[in-house]
Amino acid sequence: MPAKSQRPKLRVIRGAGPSAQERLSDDQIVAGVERGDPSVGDALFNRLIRVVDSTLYKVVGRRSDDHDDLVQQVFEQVVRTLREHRFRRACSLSSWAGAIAVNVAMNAVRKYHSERRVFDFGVEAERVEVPRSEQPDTSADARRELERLRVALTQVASEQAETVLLHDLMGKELAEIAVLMGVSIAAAQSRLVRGRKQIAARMRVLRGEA
Amino acid sequence: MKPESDDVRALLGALGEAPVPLEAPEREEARRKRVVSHIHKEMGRSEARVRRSPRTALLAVAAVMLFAFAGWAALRSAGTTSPPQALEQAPTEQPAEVRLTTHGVVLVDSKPMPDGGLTVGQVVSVGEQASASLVLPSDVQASLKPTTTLWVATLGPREAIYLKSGYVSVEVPKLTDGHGFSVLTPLGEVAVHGTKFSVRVTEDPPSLSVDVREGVVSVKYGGEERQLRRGESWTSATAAALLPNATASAKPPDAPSGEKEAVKAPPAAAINPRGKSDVASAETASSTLAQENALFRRAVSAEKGGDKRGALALFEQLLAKYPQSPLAPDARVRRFRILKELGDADQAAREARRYMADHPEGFAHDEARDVAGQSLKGEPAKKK
Repeated sequence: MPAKSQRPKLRVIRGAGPSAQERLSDDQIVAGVERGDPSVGDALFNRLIRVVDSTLYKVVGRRSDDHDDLVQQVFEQVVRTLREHRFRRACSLSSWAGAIAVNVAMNAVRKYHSERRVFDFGVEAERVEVPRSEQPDTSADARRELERLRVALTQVASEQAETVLLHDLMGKELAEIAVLMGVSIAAAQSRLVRGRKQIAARMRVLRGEA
Repeated sequence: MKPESDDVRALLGALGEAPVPLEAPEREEARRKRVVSHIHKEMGRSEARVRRSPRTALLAVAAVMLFAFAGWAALRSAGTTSPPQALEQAPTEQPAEVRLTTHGVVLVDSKPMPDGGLTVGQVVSVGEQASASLVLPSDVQASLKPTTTLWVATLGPREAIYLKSGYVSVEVPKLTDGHGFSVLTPLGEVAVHGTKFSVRVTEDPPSLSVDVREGVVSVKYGGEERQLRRGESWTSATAAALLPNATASAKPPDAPSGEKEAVKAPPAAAINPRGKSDVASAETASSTLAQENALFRRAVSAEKGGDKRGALALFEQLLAKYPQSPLAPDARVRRFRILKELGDADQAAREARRYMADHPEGFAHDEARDVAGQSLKGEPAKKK
């Protein structure tokens, strides 16, 4: 047995607990942005980057060349809406940012589609970049279905497409979507049901079934 | 396979659950620096925009005018009353405020909750996994459960909320004389004075139920008013909505347009003195409830039409056929009242005694005791 003085001593070391930024609540971050406090910039980014990045990635289908531009665009809109007091705290800050990201992503997909940079059914469909995460357990048919889905989303009314994405992709409940889009719950439900039908119909056309 | 709506949902669901590949830390860091820098710039730009906003300028002008007017009014007031009086009057001149605290998704007039207090007529819709609490100027506190829709109908000495649907639990402090609080619903009105109770309204089928935890609550329903004491609960008959030609006793004052249409309400209701909500039991017994209500309604019609003997027979038929009906206490009370009116004191007393025995804590206990002509003070209730 080692002598008492030779025993290893226990030391207090700095733990990896949450940083000061991480401890900030949504309300504190929002209040900071509202009063133009630049010190909350990092906290805002860290709080929202995951939801913004993953929403853009899933809706667009990849991290495109201008992915960083889209991320920046989302954050600019988040800051603007907070500064203009358009965020009413009726949902979480990440839900708010997610809805903005859906809007920005859909605009990007529409732009890509109109420029034929991503989708062109027929010859170019096979060349579409598919995220690796979708590749291992999905067949080429399934990938093409996803591609058609993205195209169909650009061909229905934007409010319907965004409602469907918020509900079915992001798992938001209707009441929250109603808050995010500033409509009644009934209107959100109507957009969801009609949107799904329209998308399904457009997908049939894209598959040459209609 | 044709992609239908469900396929769209399934496809997006799978996409939503798919993992997002991580990026190299250097790339993430470069993005962070770039975006955070733009966040700071946007904050500066937004500040300038906010400063220039014509709406803000307009509000500032309005605020200056308001302060100027308030100052003038205060000076004028100080000139006509002594300073202590002016100070005492100040609080009463402030507008009454309704405070709404929310947890989760709560809409006001189909929009996110506005800043500041709630005003009369603004519709509060509580989300499926949300809750809210409302504090009125008189300190009446209402706890709103998920999927509840209500609005503040009136303020002032007679405060009221209109519960369109859902469940609200209310605590009413002791109110001063001349003050009162009511919960209005499409089916009836619940008026209180210092109590704790809860009200549930369902739209399909239309039903209203009230549970009293403390104090006394009066329920106005189908043109009648009855009192509920601590531990008592009351429910309208669930299936009575099937009955035609009945109009609501409570109409929503200050309701938003589109919400004011008259709601069909059943004339029948039931008291449950056992202290348990009858909502579940009413729903399970809905197979005969429609018949019970039809019979009750025929009896009431006969009574109102002057056919007292016919009404007595119909109420008796209801009691014989459906002895466990939630309408049974009402039917018994109506029988002893009619018999008393007809001058048949003995028969009325017998009916009243039977009512007291069957419903020892019934809503018409005092009235029944008078009719029975005896005091039951200290006498245990007997079940016949």
